[in-house]
This record gives sequence, structure tokens and C-alpha cells, in this order.
Amino acid sequence: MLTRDPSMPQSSKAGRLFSKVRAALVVCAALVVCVAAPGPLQTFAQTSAQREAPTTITGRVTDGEHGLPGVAVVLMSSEPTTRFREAAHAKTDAEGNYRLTNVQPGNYKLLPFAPVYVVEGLSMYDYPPGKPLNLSAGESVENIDFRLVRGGVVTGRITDADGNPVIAERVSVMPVDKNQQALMRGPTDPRDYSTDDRGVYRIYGLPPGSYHLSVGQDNNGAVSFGSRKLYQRTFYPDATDEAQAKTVEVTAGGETTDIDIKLGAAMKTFRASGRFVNAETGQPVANISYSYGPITTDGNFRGGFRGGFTTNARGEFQTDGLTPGRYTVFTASFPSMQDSSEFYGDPLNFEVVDADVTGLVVKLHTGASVSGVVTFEGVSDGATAARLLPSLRLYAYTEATNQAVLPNNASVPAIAADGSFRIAGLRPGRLRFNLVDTGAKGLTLSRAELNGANVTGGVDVAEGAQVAGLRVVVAYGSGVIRGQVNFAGGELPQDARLFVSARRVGAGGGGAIGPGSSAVQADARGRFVVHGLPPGEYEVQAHVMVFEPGGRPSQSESQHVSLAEGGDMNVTLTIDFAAPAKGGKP
Amino acid sequence: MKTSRALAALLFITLACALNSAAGARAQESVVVQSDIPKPQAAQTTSPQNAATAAARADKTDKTKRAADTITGRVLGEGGEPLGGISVAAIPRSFTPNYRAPHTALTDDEGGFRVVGLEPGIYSVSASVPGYVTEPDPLTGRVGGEYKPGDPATVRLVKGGVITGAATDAQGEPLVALGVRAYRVRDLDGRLPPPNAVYVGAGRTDDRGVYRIYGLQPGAYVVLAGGPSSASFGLASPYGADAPTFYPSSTRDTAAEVTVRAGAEAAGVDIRYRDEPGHRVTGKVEFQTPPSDPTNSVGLILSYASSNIQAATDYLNLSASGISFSFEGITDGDYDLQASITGRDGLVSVAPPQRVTVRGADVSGLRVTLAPLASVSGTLAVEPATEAERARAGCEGAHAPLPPQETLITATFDRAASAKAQPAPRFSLTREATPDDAGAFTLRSLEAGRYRLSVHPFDENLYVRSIQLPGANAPATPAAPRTNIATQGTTRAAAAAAPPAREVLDIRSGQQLSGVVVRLAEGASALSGHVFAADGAQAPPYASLRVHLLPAEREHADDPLRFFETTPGADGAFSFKSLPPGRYLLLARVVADAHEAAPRPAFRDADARASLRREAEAAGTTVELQPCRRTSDFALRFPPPAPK
Repeated sequence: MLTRDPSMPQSSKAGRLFSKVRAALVVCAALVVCVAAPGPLQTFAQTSAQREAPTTITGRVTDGEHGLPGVAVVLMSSEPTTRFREAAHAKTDAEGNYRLTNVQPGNYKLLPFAPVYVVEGLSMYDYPPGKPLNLSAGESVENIDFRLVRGGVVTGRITDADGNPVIAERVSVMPVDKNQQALMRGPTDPRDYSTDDRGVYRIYGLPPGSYHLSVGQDNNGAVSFGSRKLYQRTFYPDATDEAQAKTVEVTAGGETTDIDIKLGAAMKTFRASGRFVNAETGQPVANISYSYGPITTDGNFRGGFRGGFTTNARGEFQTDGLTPGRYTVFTASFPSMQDSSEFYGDPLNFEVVDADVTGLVVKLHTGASVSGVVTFEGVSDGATAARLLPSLRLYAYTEATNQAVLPNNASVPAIAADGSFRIAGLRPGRLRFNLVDTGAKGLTLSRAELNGANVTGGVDVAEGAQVAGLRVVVAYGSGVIRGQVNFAGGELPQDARLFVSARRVGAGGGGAIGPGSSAVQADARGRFVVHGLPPGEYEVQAHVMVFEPGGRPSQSESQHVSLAEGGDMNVTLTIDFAAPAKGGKP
Repeated sequence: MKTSRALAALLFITLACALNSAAGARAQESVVVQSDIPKPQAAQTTSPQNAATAAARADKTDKTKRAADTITGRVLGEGGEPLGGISVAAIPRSFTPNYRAPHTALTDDEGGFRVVGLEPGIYSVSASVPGYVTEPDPLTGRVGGEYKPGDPATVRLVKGGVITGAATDAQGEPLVALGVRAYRVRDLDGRLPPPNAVYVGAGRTDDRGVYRIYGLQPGAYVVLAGGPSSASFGLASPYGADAPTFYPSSTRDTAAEVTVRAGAEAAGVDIRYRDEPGHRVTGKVEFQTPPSDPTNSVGLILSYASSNIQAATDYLNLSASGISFSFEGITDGDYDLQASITGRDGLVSVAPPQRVTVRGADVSGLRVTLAPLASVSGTLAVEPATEAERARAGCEGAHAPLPPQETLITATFDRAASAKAQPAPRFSLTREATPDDAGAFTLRSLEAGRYRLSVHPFDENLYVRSIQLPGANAPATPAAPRTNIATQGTTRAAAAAAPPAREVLDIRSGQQLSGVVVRLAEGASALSGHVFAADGAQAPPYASLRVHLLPAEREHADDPLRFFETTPGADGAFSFKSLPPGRYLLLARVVADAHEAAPRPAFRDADARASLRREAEAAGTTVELQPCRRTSDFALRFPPPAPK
């Protein structure tokens, strides 16, 4: 969504928020690509035959007893390139029945738009919210029913120590009974949880139950953005200790009012500053990209990072708005921004107690480099390769010895028109690769080679080494594996989600997820479609995932499929809930 | 087991990312809500506010030793009361790819702050407090001012206005979770916002259908509900494909305006939702030259014709094959379609605005061609006076040299001259740069068209002696004296005798022009005064006046660097600084564009300069400005006495 003048130069908020957005993107890129499969790569490309064979979806929306009239049922695309786009919507009739017609084949999420209600059977794990629906050409889908529970309202006012309204402060609503998390609010907006200019908040569509309401930051480090004041987390009515929190009861269709929270004084914030220096020469390093943010007491990363800043000519960095707590500062190349640096360095942890922190020194080392070329297989002509290359993004990251992904050593190198790339500033360790899911069709990491050796699982990079001649082979394909998952010995539990993976034998990392494998969510009927597959031998397997504690995952036998170029294979998989849980193929 | 857990992790992470992205989108949105987009400003047109600040700055500079890395100041509320505990940030004014963390400081109980550790440069100083706004400069629309380290700064925060009401359907039932936006179409004085200034607030109806949009800049707003831009990121909404309903129950043409005052609430802005389907507008993006960075994305904006009100936006991931865009919920009417790519170096490509007309049906097959933007680079040289020159000019001892970073170089798009090829609105009318420590500067993100270069040294002792452009790129006029970069190494005498500045540039799409040389010289004069009414006349119409200062000497008669103009303040006060010493003519006159954000200068070309000169000579007010001297309390009569 583009909501600002794209030409806007760096102004105060723009700059800060830009970096915030940048950081969020980076976190996304870093996490998704290192664990996620390329995913469903098909866009809305449709043949004319498909266009002529739209589908119809029907069902009913009830409150458990009666049909609910006038509820809009919205079908949203869940394809990567058109995600969140509305494909169709229809209103329920007097009996609560709805009918969506003229829907094109594709993968969707379906959701009744009834924000004052709670949709049963959906949870926070369903994002974007809705029931998955994978539609083939010409089929009619019936009885996609939704049961809604009337939500409740909680409202009140947030004031500071002087009794003044606290504006644009987000109110946290935590169910005391953890089972409530299985219930999903209707479509929500962060503004719904935030106070207005009078300090008033009003949250509606809450699942009935008991809650703790609170405002503020947890007591172990937070970074203030802009001129926003930070407050210590305070529970209704004025408790900083959750044990003293008063429980708020929300009833179906009821309104719980005057849930006012009184905050204490704003937290003091401090500044930390220092320099990035070259560990070998002791010289300051200018224009190094850095990020900082809070860490847990055992040194793990927490949310709320700020980044995208660069050191000045004297190698200096500074961080502002830090509440007392533990923090880390590190150089980070930003995969989404194609920053590059010849340096790497370990994060420097520091603690803010009751004063500014000065004189921090972060040591940088000249890193190793790896250069090579990307080539395609399954692409016969240069024109197609030239068209595909811009949509290709290679992601490389160094895996630490303890298998952890280091947050500050991921790179998305620029790929030149001839396919060549260079990654610099690498720390010693195993450099692994994957493709960033750009939403482009049909690209899968096939293998990586170095001097004839297969290094698909990663290249071991020594301190300061200059590795050349890496060849990353990317397979292009337009094949489809689709099918049906059946259940034996039981039904799919309501809190379970069903996924299907298609792993290309001999490609990528060899796992059901990760390079060389694609995974998609199946819909409630067990239908699934995996698009954009290169020809080859595939292992196709269905997986049931259960998010609630005590839930038992299960999976189908793996099915072998030979997929020809541009082929379209149909597979039936069976999950036997009566069978003992198996380890399955890693 | 293992696989399932891994898949769970995958889902979790995808979820986390989706939420993160949503946070990103929200962040962007709030950028717009309290926009402080720098507004077009002709650097040689100084506003009274800036002038007043400059005067205060000059006093301060004289009295206290300059703290070279500190901006000190105060944050004040609407009634001038000090505001404590507010975080203030100093943000470099010009874009650099290497983004430095903003320097910030907290105000004390007296509202005072000290932002320390600043490198030389030009900064805007601002505080962003939820629900509060900083009133923009009434002339430039700019928020945050312009300060160099050592300057005192004042930040005024006022409580933003509120628009609140309820949205109902045709049956009078409340509409829940309906997105409502408010666009400022005029300020309280009736001025239109500059083309790139979008002041918008957004809200959403609650379970009772009530919405409340707060923190609004004072001004006149139109309020619209539903439509393509109303959906929240990632959330299903049945309103997205509707045509938006403007308050009270209208289309854009018949929308009522809502007046918002600082700290006040405009209540009862109730919307009866029309629930009308809109049309679809689709097309493809093309590239004049392939985008250099495939990680970039194309942003598309469809706005109501000749306004800043966005009807719909789309965002295309360049990497995905198929670069088709689509807007839904578009109602009958005229629109402007713009597209842009923002890269690491800022805006890198744009498509010229394209008029799209929707009449009762979907529009398809549009083609939007993105062209690379141009840049202009050059060097800034500060020429200190010799001891002999200082003595001759009567200037006192040597001043600390101005760091090159503390000069603002602005390229202002000449709307009238470029209008044929490039219809309004445009992304921005001005681009700015500050040189680096070696004096090198680059003005980026320039669309094709005619630009006027202006140079604003943040040191009243300096004035612009010359601007030299690579000759081949200066607009072709028969008498154009050709200059070239070779003159850069010539002696000061030669430079002083160099032909008058050619401050007008014609830029082609994607051009990378280099070799501009800007020379600053020491010994500037300053002039301030008041416009006063002729005997027995009414008070002059200050709000529609402009004061012109132009060279009286024949040899400088056509030197655009010796033409200055400003709009007097509400009390008639005017001020000029960084003036080349010499004899000048002064003229106050009523102009039609007194409150345009970036008026075309009256000295824009030789004919205009000659005409202005004839008018000023007839009025007959002259002033002799000595080097290093500040002439104040100059009384300028309006209307000027009748010619003898």
C-alpha cells in the first residue's frame, strides 16, 4: 500500500519510519527465506479455458441457531503476488445464505466480514484470516459455512500521572484463559486497539471471556520512536505487577465500560553512542550500516529494532530513546536494500541503567567474499533467461556453528545482467543459499556447484577467503502438482492446519521445507495446488500441524510423482489418524 | 514430527512477517497523517518567518560564540507555554543515501533543548507528538525550518484538530470498520496545498459506526468513506471495491468541506454511505530503460484530477513477472495517474502524470511508461576576501569560513515553462542538495523540464557571486555566452569578470549533468525594513504584496543573481540577506500569486527583468548597500509615488 508521496525526502518521521519499515522488511526477508520454501509461486495467470470456467461458492453464516442476514462474505486472494486482494464478495440473504459466483480458479481465503462477531474455528494462526479455499476450474463448492459468536466491547480511558490523556497508545488485551486464543476476532485494525486524542479506546468484537488489559512497555528495554513517551507496562486499573491486575469480563454482545488505566510517570530514556572500528587497524569505519535493539537477559533478540542508519565519517554511531535494559548494536547488511560491506562483526551488547552510555567500540573484521554466477535450467533461450533474471533474488546467509542464523550476516547480492554476483563481508562459516520468494512464477533453487563439487548444502568459507567460481543453478518450471488429501481414522481437528509439500528429489537442501521444496496449505476439503514446478521426480507428502499444546501432528505417506515439463499431475494422499505418529522423512 | 515442526515454524514466521509488513504499512500511513514534506520554496524568496528567524539568528551569532555542533532551542505550546519531556530531532534537510540516525534531545521543564554532536549541514528541527501538529510555514508549507549547527530554534506544537461523526447505510444502520479519510484541500487562509503536500488523516468506524480522526493540521478538508484506499492492510473488507462516499453523501464533485481549527473538534460529520460499486482501471507499467535494481517496486497513485486526494494506490513488486496494475472502486470522473520507483538514492524513475477519464465503464489497457530521473552535480567554492579587500570594503576581521555543507542548493521546477510537455501535478516542484565537505553536490530525482537553480548560503557574510553551467546545457538563446568547466581553475579576478550566472537549466529525462560551479563570495550586505502606506492612504494590502530588490547599476542590470523578492509579513516587515553589495532599486507591488507556494520569480527571464526594472526605475526608490553592512529600518512606500 502506497500512502505517502514516494518522492518524500527524509523528514523526521519519514526517516525514522522508513528505517523501521526497512527493519521490518529485513526481518521478514531474513526469516522467510531462510526457512520458507519458495512457496506457491503461481500468480493469477490464467488460460482462456480457465477464464471460461469460473466457480461458484455457496454457504451459510449463522450465529449457531439462526442465519445472519446482510453479512458480507469476502473472498481474498492468497496468491503471493495478489495476496490480500479482494476477489469477490457477496452479502447473505435473509436466511444467512451467501453465493459467490464467477470466481476464477486459484488459491483464496474466505471470511465473513462481521467485525462485531467472532468467527469460530479461525485463530491467529490463520493469516491472512479466513478459511483456505483452493479452487479448480469449473467446480462448484457448497456448504462453506461459518458460525459466528457475538463479541463484546471493552472501553475506557488511559491517563498519565498528571491525569492527561495518553494519545495513540496501544492497549494490550490478553485472555486470562489461554483457550480463548483459539477464537479469532473479526477483521481488526491496530487503530482499534489504540487510544484517541482524548485517551479513549474502544475495542469491539472480542471473544467473550476474561482478560487482562494493559498499556506500556515491559520492563527490560524498549526503544522510543519519535517523540513518543514510553510507560512501564501498567495493568488495569493501575498495577505494574500483573498479579495485582484486575480481571476484565467481556460478555457476548455486552459492553464493559470505564476500564480506565492510570499510568505512572513516563520512563526515562537514554542514549548510547560509540564507534565502529576496524579490528585490525583500529581505524574508524565510515558509512557502516548498523541496527540496534533490545535483547533478553540471555542475549536473544527481541522485537523493536531500529536500523538502516550509517556511521558518520568518524565511524560514530548513536542510539536514542533507550529505556533501561539490555541492548545490542551490530552492523547489518540489509538484504532488501542490497547494501554491501566488506566487513563483518559480532554484535556488541550493552546495558542501559540510569545514564547515557558512551564510548562503545564495535570491532569489525574484513570478511571473506564469494563470487559466482546464476544459471537457469529448463530455460532454452536467452530471452527467457533475461526476463527471469530480474525476478530472481538469491539469499545467502552464514550459519553459525550452533546452527543458529546470525542476524547480521545475510545478504541478497545484486545479480548483474550476465548472472554474476559477489557477496562480501562474510564471516567464516558455512554459507548457505536460497531464493527469496518474490512472488515470481516457477523458480526453484536446484543446486549449487563449486569447482565441480556439489555445494547445495552450503559452502565452507574460511576467514578472509576469496572464493570464486560458485555456480548457482535455478530451475524454471511451469508444472503443477494438485490433488486431494483424504482422512482415515478420524477428522481433521478444528485447530489443525493441513499442508502439502512437494520436494524435488536431488534438489536443494533435501528437506520437506527449504531449498528445492514447495509447500502450500490445503483447504478444508483437502484440495491443494502447487504451481510453478520444474520437471523432475517429486516426493509429495501431506502434513497436519496442530498449534495447541498437546496436539499431535501427523502426516501421510510420501508419494512419488514424475513431473514432465509443464505437466499437471493429480495426487491423492491419505492421512490416517489411527496410525501411530511417524517421523517421516526429514 | 520434525517436518511438521519445521512447517509450523514456517507458518509462524510467515505470520510474523505479515504482521510486520502490516506494521510497516501503518508506519507509512502515519507518515502521511502528519506530513512534513518539504514544500517548494524559491530560495531567493524569503518568507517573513524565515527572515525573522534569520535576524534572531544573526543577533545570537554575534553575541555568543557559536557552538559548532549544537542546535539549541525551545519547544512551545499554542499559548507560548514551554513543553517539557518532548523529544526533538534534528534531521538533515537534504537526502543522502547514507542515512544517519537523527540526533535527538529531550526538552527540560522550560521546554529547552540542546541537540549536540551535529556535523556541519542544514537541518530541520521538529518534534512529533501524537495528536499534535507543527504548523507549517504559511508560505512554503514547510515544517521544521532550516537551521545550521549554532543556530537557535523554536518548535511550536499545537493540538491538532478533530473530525468526528458516524457512518450509516441507506437504512440508517451503523457501518462497522469502515475506513474514513480526511484530505486537506486548503489551509485556513484559502491557499491550495503545494502539489506534493498531502495532509491526510485516517480513521475507522467502530461498532457504533462512529469514527474520530485527530491530529489534523488546521484547514478545510473533504472527508470520504470506503473505496479502494479504505481497507486496512491485509484485512478483508467489503468496502474496497465500492466507490468512496464523500461527506455528506456525495461524490467528489459535490463533496462538502469541513473546516478544522487547531485543538477544535468538528463533530457531526456524519456520512450516509452510498454503497455504489466503482469501476476497475487497469493497465501495464513499461520502462524507458530497464530498472537498474530489480528489488525496487513501482508505486502507482490514482488521484482525483488536479488534486492531492488519492482515489487509489497500487504497489507492484518488480521482481514478479507481469507488471499489471489494477485499481478498483473508481467512480466516474477525471483522474491523474502517476507512477514512480524509489530506490536507495531516493526517487529514481517516474512516469509523467497521465489523465484518466472514467465514464460509466471499466478502463483497461493503460500504459504507464517510467522514465529515469535526471541529476545535476557540481561544486561549491567559497572565496574568502583578501585582507586588502576587507580593508577596502570596510569589513571587519576574518570570519570563520562557512563549511560547504551549510549551503542549500535548490532546483525549482518552472511550471509555466515546462507545462506543455509536463502537465501538473508533479511529484515535487523542488529538489535540494547540500554539498559535502569538499563542496561537491548532486541534485537528484529531477524530472525532465526547466529548472531554476538558487543558492542559499546559511551565512549572512556570503553572497552568490556566480553560477556557471556547462555551456552546452544552458538554454539556447542567441546571446548566451558560453562558459565551460575550464573556468573553474581560473583566477578570482577572471571569475568575478565571468559572464552573469545562467541559473536556468533545461533537463532531459535521465540526464546526468555535471560541472555546475557555484561561487560564493565574502562581504555580503543585508537589508530590512517595512512597507508603509503613502500619506493618507489605507494600510497597504500586505497579504498580496511582494517586495522586489533589483540592481540599479547598468553593468548588473540583467544579472539574475542580483534580483531578489520576498513577501512581507503581516505587519509589512521585509528582509533580504546575502546580497551582493551595490546600488539597488526597491519596489513593492501587488501580485496575483502572493500566496503561491512556489511562485515564478518576477525576474525569470530577460524580458521580465527589463519590465520589472522599468517599473522600479519609474518608482525611483534606490538604496546603496555597502559590503558587510546591514541596512535596517528601510521605509518603503506603497503605493510608490507617481512618476514625475
